[in-house]
Amino acid sequence: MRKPARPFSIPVLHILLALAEGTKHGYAIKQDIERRTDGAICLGPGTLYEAIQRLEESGLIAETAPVAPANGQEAQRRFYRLTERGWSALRAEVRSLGTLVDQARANPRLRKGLA
Amino acid sequence: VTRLYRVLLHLFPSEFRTRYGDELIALFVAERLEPRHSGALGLVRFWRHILYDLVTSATRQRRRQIRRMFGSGVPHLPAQPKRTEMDTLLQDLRYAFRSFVRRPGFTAIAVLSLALGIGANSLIYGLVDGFVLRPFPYPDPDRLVSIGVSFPKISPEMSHVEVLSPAEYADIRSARSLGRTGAFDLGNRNISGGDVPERVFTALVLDDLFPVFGMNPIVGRGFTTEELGPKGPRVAILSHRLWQTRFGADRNIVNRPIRIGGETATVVGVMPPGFC
Repeated sequence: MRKPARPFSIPVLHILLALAEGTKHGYAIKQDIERRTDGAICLGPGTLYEAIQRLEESGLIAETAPVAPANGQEAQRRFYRLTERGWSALRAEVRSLGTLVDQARANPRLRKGLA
Repeated sequence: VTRLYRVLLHLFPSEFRTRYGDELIALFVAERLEPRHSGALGLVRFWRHILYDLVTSATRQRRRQIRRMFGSGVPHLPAQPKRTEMDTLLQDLRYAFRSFVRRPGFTAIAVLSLALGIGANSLIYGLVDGFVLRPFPYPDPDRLVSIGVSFPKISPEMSHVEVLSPAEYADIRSARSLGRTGAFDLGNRNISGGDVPERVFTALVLDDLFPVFGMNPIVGRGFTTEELGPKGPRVAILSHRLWQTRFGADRNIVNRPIRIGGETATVVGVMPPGFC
């Protein structure tokens, strides 16, 4: 029942971003994160579902019916979507990260190395 | 393999397992089928990833379960829960565990060094215990030798047996490098007479053993040449322990007959404590 401490951990943020693209089941979330991070973040089953459990308990994501009619095996998977609360938490997080990045870019010494 | 993973899922609290167990297994199966996990190296990489994930997440889940059980699992914990010494210890343990998993080579060397160290330590302690703390209770123990025969193929564990034929013993007895010799046949025999018969550890002695060990009876005397001969009278010398437990440390035991293995023998002496 614990609210995930803000700011979100990087894997949690990635899970939220994956679900921001649409309803997904666990393996699809995992694949999405790996694709997004070029394999740098590779969540194991336990770690992934632990994060999903916390996000579910804090009301940021919820289980849902698959949007597209899924094939046999996929139909048995649990699908997740962002809740309203999840959307606003993600937006707030992205906004604050954006501010952070803007501030960082404003530093001329730091900007040099950034393309 | 999936069945093994299913068993390993019992590391998780049942609540988590019931809710997400099937999902975890589905993810496990899907990951196993990924091309990067094919081949022997891929299989090793896969299991390392799975086991690391399993242990770390199960540990977190169990801790969470314990926190809930002991009442601190209130819905909204403060952002920075107070860290106890136990938390610090657990964190250190987790950190150590992660470091070990991350550097298996280092872990192997550390474990090997520990194993060698502990092994060497026990060996040295064994030697010190045997030679310094509890040496043979006999004078000049370094001048005592036990002679037996080696049978290289008798068994993998044992090749040396202290069994000699009379002719072999006669050869040994005539060897000039040995000051004195004695031979004995160890075995359990019944002592009867008195309240209850008792099965005791005995030695049938050939030649006078006691001068070999440099020890003499504290009560009575040792064996005479006549007694050691093939037709000599049957006599016995008691160990200190048997003398105390069965005969009540009676000094008048000397010259009394006792029954050993169905035969009567006269007690002629009692050895000092520690002789055997």
